[in-house]
Amino acid sequence: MTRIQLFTVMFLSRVFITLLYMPKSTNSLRGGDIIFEIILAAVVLSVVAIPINKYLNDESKKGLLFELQKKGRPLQIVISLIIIAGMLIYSLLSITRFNIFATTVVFPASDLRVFLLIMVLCSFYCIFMGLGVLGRTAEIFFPFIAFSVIFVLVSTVGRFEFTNFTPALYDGIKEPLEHGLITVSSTVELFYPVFYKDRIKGGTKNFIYPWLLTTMGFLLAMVIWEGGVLGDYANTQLFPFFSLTSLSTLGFIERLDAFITSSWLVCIFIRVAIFISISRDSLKAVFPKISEKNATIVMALTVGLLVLLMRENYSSRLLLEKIYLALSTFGVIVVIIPIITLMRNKNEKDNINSSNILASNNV
Amino acid sequence: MKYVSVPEKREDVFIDGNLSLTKSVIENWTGKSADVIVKDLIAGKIKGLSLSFDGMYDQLLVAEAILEPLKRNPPISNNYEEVLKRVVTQVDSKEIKTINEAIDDAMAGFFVIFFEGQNTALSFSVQGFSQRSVEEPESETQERGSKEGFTENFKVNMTLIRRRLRSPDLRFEILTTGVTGNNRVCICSLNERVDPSILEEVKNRIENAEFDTVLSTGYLQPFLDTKYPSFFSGVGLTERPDTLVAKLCEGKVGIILDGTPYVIYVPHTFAENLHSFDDYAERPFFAAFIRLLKLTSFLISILLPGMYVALAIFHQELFPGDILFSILSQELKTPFPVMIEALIIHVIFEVMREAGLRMPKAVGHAVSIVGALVIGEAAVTAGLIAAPMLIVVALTAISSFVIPQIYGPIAVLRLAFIIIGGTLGFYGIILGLIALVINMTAISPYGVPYTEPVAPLRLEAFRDFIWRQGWEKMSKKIEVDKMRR
Repeated sequence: MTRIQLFTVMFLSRVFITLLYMPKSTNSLRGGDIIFEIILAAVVLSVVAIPINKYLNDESKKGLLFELQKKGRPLQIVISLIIIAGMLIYSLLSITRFNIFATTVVFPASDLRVFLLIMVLCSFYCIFMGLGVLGRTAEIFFPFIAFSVIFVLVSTVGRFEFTNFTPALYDGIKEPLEHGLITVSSTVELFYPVFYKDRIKGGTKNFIYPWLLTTMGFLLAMVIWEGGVLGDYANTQLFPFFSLTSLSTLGFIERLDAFITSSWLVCIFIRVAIFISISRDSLKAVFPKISEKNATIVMALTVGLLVLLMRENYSSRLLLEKIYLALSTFGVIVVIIPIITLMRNKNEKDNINSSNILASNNV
Repeated sequence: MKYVSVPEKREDVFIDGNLSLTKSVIENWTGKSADVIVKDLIAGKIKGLSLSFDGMYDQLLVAEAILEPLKRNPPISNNYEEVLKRVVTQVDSKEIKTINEAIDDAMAGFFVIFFEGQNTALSFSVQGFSQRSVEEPESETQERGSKEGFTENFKVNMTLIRRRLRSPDLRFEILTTGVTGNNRVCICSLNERVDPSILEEVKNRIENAEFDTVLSTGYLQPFLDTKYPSFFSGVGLTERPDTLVAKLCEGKVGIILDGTPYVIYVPHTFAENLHSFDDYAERPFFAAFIRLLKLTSFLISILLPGMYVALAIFHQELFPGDILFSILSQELKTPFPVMIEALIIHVIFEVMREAGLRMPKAVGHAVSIVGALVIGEAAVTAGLIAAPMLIVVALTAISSFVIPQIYGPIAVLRLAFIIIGGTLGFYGIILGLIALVINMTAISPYGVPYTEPVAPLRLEAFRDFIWRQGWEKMSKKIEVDKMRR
C-alpha cells in the first residue's frame, strides 16, 4: 500500500462516521455547537496524535506487531488480543450504524442482514487479495465519494443561511463536549499507520498531521454546511447529512439521495475491510502457525457472526450512544498501545545506554 | 545417440552419413506420409539425400538456387563445406547434426540435404508455402494508421515489426512449444526498454507450459496471464504491427505465434483498452474526447441495464415525474417483471449477436434484420417488451461494441448487474461495483497493476491516460520498470 492509498483508506474510513453521524437521541445541540464539537475533536486528536507522530517519524521503528515481538512474546499476545477485541468492537459499531441507516432510510423496516453479510463478504474478498488491493480500491473510489459530498454541498448552496448559526455553547458545554468526545472516539484511523508502518511504500514520515488537517477540515466543511442549511433542525434528524443530501437536486432530477447515499456503502466496506485486516494480522501474531488465508476466514466469519447477532434498531442505537464503550476502546487502541510501545523502547534504549556505559567503565 | 537400426521413438539421433539408414529413419518416423519427399541426389563427387515436405517450400527457388548450381558447378569433393562455401551461396543455410532437427526444419519449409559419409547435413531456407498476403486488419480498423495487419506467417510478422523499428535493440527470440505441434513462438522486445525480469518470466512461462499443440494465442494467454481468477486479462491483443511497435517502445514484451495473425503482449493495463492508434494521429482534445467516450461507454454497457432495473423497482423517486409516468405506462402493459424482461431481451440480443457472427456475412445481415424488426418491433407492439427497455438495451449494445477487446467481460457483467440491481437496488449495484473493482485491482501482471495509472496513482502517466499531451511534451519515453510498484 502506498502513502496516498493509506491516506485515502483512512479518509474514507473516517468520513463514513460523519456521513452517518447520529446526534444523541436526548441531545439539545444547536447549530454553533456542532462546529465547536468538531473543532474540539480536532484539538484533542492533535494531542492524541503526538506519540503516534513520534512513532511514525522514527525511522528505526517498524510495524506495531514487529515492535511488540521485540519486546517479548507475552506482551505481543496480550496486545494482539486487545487489538482483535478493539477491531471487533469497532466493526460492530460501524455495521450497527450502517444497519440503522439502511433500515430506517434505505429500506425501512427491512431485515438487511443478508445485505450486510454480502458487504462483509466483499471486505473479506478484498483483504484476501491483499492490503494493496484495498489501497487501490480506495484510491479508485476516493474521487467519487469526495465528489458526491462536494456535490451535495454545492447543490444546497442556495439554502445556506448564516442566520441558522446560533451561538456555540449557548446551553452549556456538557453536550458539545460529550459529542466532541464521540467524534474523537470514532477516529480509530490514527491507529492504521502505526499498525502498518513497515508496509507503507513511501514511508509514514510527516504523515499523520497533514491527514488530520485535511480530514478534520473536510468534516468541518460538512458540519458547517449542515448547520448553515438545516440549522437547529439538523439535531432533530436521525442522520443530518442524509437530510442535507435529500435537499440536493440536479436540474430536473429532484431526488438524488438514493444515488448519492449508495456510494457511501464504499466507506463502510473500506472500514470493515481494514478492521478485518488488522484483526487478521493480530490473530496471526497470537497463533503464528495459522495461515494468512485461514486467519482471514476466521476474522471475516467472526464479523459475519456479529452481523447475525445484531439487535433491532432501538437497542442498536443505544449501543452507539454508550460513549464509554467507544471512548475506552479508542483510548486503549489509539492512545495507550502506541505509548506503551514507545515507552518500552525508551527503557530499552536506557538499558542499552547504561550497559554501554558499564561496558566502557569495565574496559 | 548413435544408431545401427531404426529407433521407434523420435529422439535426438545424430547423423552418421549412412544414407540408407537415414532414409529408413525418416520414412519410419513420418510413416511414409504422402507429403514427405525423400530423394537421392548425385552431383559431381557428392552423393546425397534430399528431404522436403511437399507444398512447404518454393520449388522454383530450390531449382534455381540449389539444384541448378549443383548441376552447373558440381562439387569436386564429397564435403558439405564445399557445397556451402562454393556451390550454393545464394540461399541462407545452416548446419544440422540430428535427424530430428532435419525433419523439424523440413516441416517448416526448409530443404535439407544429407551427405554420404558426412555427419552434418545442410538445411536451406527456401520456405514458400501459399499464404495470405498482408491485409488491413479487420478487428482493429483505424482511420489514419497503417493499413497493414499481421498475417499467419510469423516471419512476415517479424519483418512488419522490423520495418517500423529499425533498431539493433529490437530482439526476436524463437521458442518451440507443443509436444505434437512443435509450434514456433517468437518473443520480441526492445532491449533498452524492456525489464529483463519480465522478459525472462515470459520465456519461462512459455517454456514450462505443457501443450499438445498451440493453434491460437488464446492457448498461451492463460499461462502468461495473472494467476488470480478475474474478468479482465493482463495480456493485451493486437492485429496491428504499429500498435505492437508502440507497445515494444513502452517496454512491453510481444509474443507472436506462427499460424495466427493475433499477437499478444504483456503487461497490459485497463487504460490501454481506451487507447487506439488513431488517438496519436488526432489532435489531443479530440483524442481525449474519444477516450472519455470509451470510458463512458464501458460504464454504460455494464451498468445501464442494471441501474434501469434498480430505478424501476426500488428507486422510482429518482425519475422526474414525466419520465416516470412514461416508463410506468409502458412497463405496466408488459407481462414480465422488469428484471426478467431485461434478462430475456439481453439473452436474445446475445443469441442474435452470436448467430450474426458465426453465420456467413449475407445470412448474418438477415439475422440482424430479423432481430431488429421481428423480435424488437414486434415484441413491443405485442406488449411483451416495454419500449424504454428496448431503448436501454439498444444503447447498451452499441456501447458495448465501443471497446471490442473486453466484450466478453462486459456481456457477463451486464447480466450480473441486472440481477443485482433487480434484487438489491442501487445499494446492490454499488456492492457489485466494489467487488468488480477489487477484481480489477487484484490483477497485477508482471508487477504492473492493471488499474494503473489511477491506482496506484502515477501522475506522470496521466499525460497519456484520458487526456493525451501533444507530441512536443510527450516525447519522453515511459518505461515499464517505472510503472512497477
